[in-house]
Amino acid sequence: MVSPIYAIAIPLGAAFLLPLFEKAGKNAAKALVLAILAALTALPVSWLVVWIVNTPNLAGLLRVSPLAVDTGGFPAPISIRLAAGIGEALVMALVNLTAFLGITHMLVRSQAKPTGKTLVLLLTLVTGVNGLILTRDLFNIFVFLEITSISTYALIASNGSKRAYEAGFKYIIAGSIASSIYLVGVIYLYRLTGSLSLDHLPRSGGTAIALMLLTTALLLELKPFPANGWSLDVYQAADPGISAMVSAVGASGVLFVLYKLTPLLSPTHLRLIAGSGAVTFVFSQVIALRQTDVRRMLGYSSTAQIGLMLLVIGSGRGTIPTIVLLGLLLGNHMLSKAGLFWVTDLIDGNRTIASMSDSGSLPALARNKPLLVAMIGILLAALAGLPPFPSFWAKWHLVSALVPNGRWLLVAVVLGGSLMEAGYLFRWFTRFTKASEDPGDVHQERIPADVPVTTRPQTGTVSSRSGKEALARQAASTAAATQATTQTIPQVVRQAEQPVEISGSPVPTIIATLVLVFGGIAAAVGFLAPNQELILLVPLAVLLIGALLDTLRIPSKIQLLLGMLGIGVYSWLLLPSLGGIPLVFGLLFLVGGLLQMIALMQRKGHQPGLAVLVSTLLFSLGNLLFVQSRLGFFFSWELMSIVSYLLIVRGRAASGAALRYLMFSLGGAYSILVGLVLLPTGFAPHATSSLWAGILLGTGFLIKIGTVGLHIWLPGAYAEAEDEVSSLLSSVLSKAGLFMLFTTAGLFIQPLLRSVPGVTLAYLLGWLGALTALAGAFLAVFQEDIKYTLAYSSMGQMGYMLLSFALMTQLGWINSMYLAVTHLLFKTMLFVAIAGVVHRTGTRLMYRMGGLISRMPVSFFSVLIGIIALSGVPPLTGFGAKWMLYTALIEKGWYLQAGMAFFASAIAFLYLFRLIHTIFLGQLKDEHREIREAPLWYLVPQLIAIIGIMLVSMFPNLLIKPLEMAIAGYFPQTIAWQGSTLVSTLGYWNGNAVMYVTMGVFLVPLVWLLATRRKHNQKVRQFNIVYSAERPDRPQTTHYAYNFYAPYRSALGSFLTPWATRFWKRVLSVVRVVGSSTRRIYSGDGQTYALYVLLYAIVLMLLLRGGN
Amino acid sequence: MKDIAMKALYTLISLFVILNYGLLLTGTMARVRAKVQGRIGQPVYQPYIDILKNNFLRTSIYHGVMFFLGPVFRLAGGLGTYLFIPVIFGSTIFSNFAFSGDLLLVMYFIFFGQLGMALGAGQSGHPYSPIGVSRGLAQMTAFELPFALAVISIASQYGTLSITGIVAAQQGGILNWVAFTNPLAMVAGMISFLGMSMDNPFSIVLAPQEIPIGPPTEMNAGFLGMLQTNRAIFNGAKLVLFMNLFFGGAGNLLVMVVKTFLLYFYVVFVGASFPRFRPDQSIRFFLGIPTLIGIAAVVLQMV
Amino acid sequence: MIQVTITQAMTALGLLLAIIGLWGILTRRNIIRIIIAFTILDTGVHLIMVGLGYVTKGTAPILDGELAALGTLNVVDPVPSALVLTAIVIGLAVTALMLSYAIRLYQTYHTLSIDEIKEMKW
Repeated sequence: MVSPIYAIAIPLGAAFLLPLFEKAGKNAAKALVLAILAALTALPVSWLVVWIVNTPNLAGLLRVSPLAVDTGGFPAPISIRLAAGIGEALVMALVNLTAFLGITHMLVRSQAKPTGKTLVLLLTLVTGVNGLILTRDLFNIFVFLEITSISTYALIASNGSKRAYEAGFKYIIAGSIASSIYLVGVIYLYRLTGSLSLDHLPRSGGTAIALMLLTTALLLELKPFPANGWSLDVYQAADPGISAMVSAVGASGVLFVLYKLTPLLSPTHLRLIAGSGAVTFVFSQVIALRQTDVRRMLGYSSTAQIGLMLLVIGSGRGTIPTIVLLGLLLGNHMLSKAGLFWVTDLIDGNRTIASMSDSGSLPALARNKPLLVAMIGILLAALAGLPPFPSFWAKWHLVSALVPNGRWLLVAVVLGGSLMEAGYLFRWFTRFTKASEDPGDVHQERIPADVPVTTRPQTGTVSSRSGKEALARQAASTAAATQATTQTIPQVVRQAEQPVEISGSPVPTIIATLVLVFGGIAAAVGFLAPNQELILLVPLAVLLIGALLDTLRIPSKIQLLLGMLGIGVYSWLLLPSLGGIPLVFGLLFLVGGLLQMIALMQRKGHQPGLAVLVSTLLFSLGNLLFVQSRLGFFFSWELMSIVSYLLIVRGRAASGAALRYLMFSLGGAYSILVGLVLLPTGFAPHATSSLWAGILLGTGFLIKIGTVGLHIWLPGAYAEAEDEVSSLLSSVLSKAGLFMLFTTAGLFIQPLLRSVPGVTLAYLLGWLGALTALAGAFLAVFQEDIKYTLAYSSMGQMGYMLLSFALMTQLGWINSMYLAVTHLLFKTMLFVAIAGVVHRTGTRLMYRMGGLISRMPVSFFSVLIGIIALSGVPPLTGFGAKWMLYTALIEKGWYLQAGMAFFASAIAFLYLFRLIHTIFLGQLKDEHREIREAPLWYLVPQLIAIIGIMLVSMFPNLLIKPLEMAIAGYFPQTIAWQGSTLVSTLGYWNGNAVMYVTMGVFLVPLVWLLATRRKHNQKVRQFNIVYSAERPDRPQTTHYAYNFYAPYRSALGSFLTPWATRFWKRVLSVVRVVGSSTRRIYSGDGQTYALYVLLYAIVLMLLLRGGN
Repeated sequence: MKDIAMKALYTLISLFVILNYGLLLTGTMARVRAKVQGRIGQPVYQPYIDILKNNFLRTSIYHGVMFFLGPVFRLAGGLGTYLFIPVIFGSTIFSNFAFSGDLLLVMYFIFFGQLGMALGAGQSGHPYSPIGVSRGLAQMTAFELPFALAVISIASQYGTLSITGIVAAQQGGILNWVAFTNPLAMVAGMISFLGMSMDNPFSIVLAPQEIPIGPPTEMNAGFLGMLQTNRAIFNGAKLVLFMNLFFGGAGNLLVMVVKTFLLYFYVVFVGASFPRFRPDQSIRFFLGIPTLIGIAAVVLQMV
Repeated sequence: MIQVTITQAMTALGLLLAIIGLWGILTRRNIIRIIIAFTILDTGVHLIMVGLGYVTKGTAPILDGELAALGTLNVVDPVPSALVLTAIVIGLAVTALMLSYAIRLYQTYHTLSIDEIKEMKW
């Protein structure tokens, strides 16, 4: 194997020789630099390969004896030793790879290409970092530290900007104080022990202060909060290529030094390191939330990530070795952060978009360079720790190491900080994806501006002369409006279509992204293989294949067909192996998902991401059905969340809503993460697991369900997603939380207090369910936007399912699943029918519609069946659910909950009637006279769902009997069958007979009317009524639709205050205020920063005293 | 086959009885109201005349399919509601189709006709129809709450949701009636009944005097006749239901007539004595005291 | 009378210089003065190093007869001296860099007052 000494000697030598090569030609020098970096990357990789080939497993790999070189021919204490073990090799490979990519990036970009001097400095920097990684001598570390620092100081100034000089000077002041402290520490340690070799220093005794001085100095180099003001200026002001090097390469070396020091440190030292890391992590994230400059935001994110790694170093041993954890985090951070800095470099040739608030050119970027934006998404996802990227696995193992040791504060810091990080990173991402009319930060549901109505040919029959006049008026106003817009539109377009040139080649960034992706997949394979759960990676494979198809611009229809085929085959293989509850939900997820995909077939052309995301989502739902291990489950759950986020963000004005969805999903996922770690093994119910596991897991699942209080992501996400996607979210995805509740039901039946055995978590869930049903119904009543109405309606329905589930009785569980299945059917009908209406009318506001029954009769019929099934009116399926619900509730003795559920179901009538009336009945609007029935692809799933509803209505036992079998054995039998009559302990219900009686009593009057009203029964035209002592001539004055339930609103008064929304807004504003007030400490004054550095050192020393 | 024929015959008898009784009751009460207001009033048989006249009017108009179906839905709702209630305790003829489902079925089937009617009226395009429907539905949600609580209280009291079962449990003397064994439930239920009957003070839904409001606005001829038929049957069904729930049911037709007459008289009595609520007032009224009484009735069953 | 050895005096002097240097860095507004303060700090640190590493009345660490006679205990440890030499060189480089920064800052901001050079904050 090649000696490590070359890793230092070659770049150092080359740095000095480079000016000579420049004489031979600029390209020769560049080629030399790249060749050296490639060699430096290959070197540690070659060691790794040899080790991996020679050792059978990970444990052996970690014990491999390091490759050591003693310089000058003397043994270690006298000479300086360089040693490369597995950790060194890993970090070196990453550092040199990143440096290679970084320098390549700077060489191939179109402006500010590095000069020969810069290349020399870059090589010195790499030398310094390699030296830091390899050397085992404390003073040698100082030398390399200074080499790294000095080359960094000089590099910062290289772009010659005013701000860079300012930042660099601040950095020098802080850095020189830190190195003074290091020097004092080194000499003090030498005085005490007589040695500077890491391998020969004594492991204990009297060296605490000296070591603390070293640690402090290293920490200061790692930019701890609050002594890091200078570093942020550097990230903001320096050339992004240099910032990437500082963040990814420079810091990694110092971090690794600190890691090498850990065997010498006492637990107090480690605690201080962990604490410093935690403080840095959380405060950097909070402040980053308030940043408007992207590079400064990335700078805060960098310091935060290093803080996280400090936390890992300081918190000691976990379930997997620290070095593996560190390697995952470090590699993830280096590649993604450097990649993002390069991206800002690429897209910001003229420094226009460094500010987050300037969104003008970003959407254009998304349109012109979708692949670039996809790449940004991948980098951000990796940085935010989403699956399958390396930091996702690191986060899992970090938390599972912290929780059993009871280090709750650190757990809270890690997860809270990660949540905020995902928040600001994806807020930036939404700037790329959102359309220009998208308001972005939606924090209040609002009536959105309408889709500009395309001027349709307004010919054809109009009912009356005055109707024609009205039309003429309208046409005139439309013309005026069009004129007005033609004047404004070019400006808008010009602004939006600002030419977005990518300044340079994205290849290095793409390579970094690919390394991340493959690293992530490798990590996934590595972590999932021990549990034989590699099959969980199927959704990822689907994602990759789909991404490929998308890149080839295959039409969406074909992609969807492929997806449906894939899901069909998958279901065919998977479902027969399932039984009981998983089978029910398997059918729900997969077959239900197929139903939803039919509606998507309506899309024409190539819709980037649509088919692939939908398919991936369904496959990841499939994962939930059979996953066994906790990690596998968490992986699948997060994958599902992120994919559904991407699906939502496709909506026209969905960026704010999607961000909210992501935040709540991730919050829920983190809650689940801690809950899972608390479970002993697997994630199936355990009798012995703690109450907290139940609470945390439950919270996570309730967020997905959209329980009241945790629901505020729901309306926006359902409403702003694309119309067919809303249907998928509401009818299929929302059941994922319910399924997990069923799976982990055992956690919810223990009493909260020993003295009150009746009050279990399930009891609380029951109340939450009833409240959710009521709140959802009430919120739905007062919406003008049809999709918000349906969204809240879904929330209310999920409330019933939760309530039924929480009963923990046979009838309750049957009903919960019965509702889940029928909800799938009728919500598909409603959402898809409404999708058709919105598609045709171009508006979502109900009061702008009306009288559509004559234009879209099939959609009307579908909605009619849907609302009857939803409301619970016999003879359709809804009544079965109501009957089982109340019967089960009264049997259980939950009378008040039953009353509340009944009230909620009465309220549901209000919005259901409003929905069907204001859209389909009343007065047809002039602009809708010519519209056609919804597209065929929309009608097909509706018709299938109608057939399903009718079948179950006619023969309820077709559904109820299998459900009864699915949960057989869980609970004592409380229902019985007498023929087709379902008998409970309280009452009975014969769905079949009800259907026949209803048909009978319906047919008799119908026949009578048909018989008697055959002659002289004239159908009149639209305006043939008398209203307000006149014959109305325009629908606008005659269609009663806006603010339909005004009296109810005034009757309820302050009961309608959106408490939950208010609460979460308050939380957000508190975080913001903390961020705003904390960042005031960064006054911009170099001396203040120096003072912080000094004070930080003093405080750490004092804490050490206190710690001993 | 013979069973089915017999059942059909019984059904027809039962419907014939309730239709005539309902119409006569409506006529009688109209006269009672007139006397209170110092008028002579219409003849008792006036409802028959109205229905016959409306059904045999030569011409009529309609606004569309849903408009046509609205009255059908309405009457089907009335008929169905009635047919799912056992009218006379222990009688085969008047047991109707109560075997199809219990009290919950009846409570939800009431909505069937209301929903269909509202839809039919909606297609007329007349703003008064949806205004009336919006008020009616809003008020309905409010008065259903105390009623539901009363029903839950009774169901837990007797451990059954079967109407026959509830009636059976009240046999054996006046003191066994729910009205005496569970007075709070009875009070909550009877206040709801006022709202359900849409008489004063809860008559804003129809507002029959000032503006021709509510679902029937555009209804004419046979459509209106069908609605009037329904009103008689539906009224009867509701009266029978409340009689069964709170006042011990009826062992024979005579008892049924007396009890339901008194129940209806109570509605008319209150209606003649009180002025009218605005919609928001009536909503707030039902969600206030009656709901609290209902909750008290339920809580008493729990402890 | 407290006996103050030369090493203790040297360390104390170094400490004093370091504190003066830090004080200067934190209080002086002129960048040039800050740089001077930094060199004072640096010198102080170097003195501390020498002071901590020096052995009183020791001999030079040269492998000759005297060393054999006195034994290794009385040899002045060569390592701190080597360290100080390295540190001085590095300090020089940093000072040079700081001075060139000062020139650049003066060229761009037209001031040497650090108070006026805070464009970036928060």
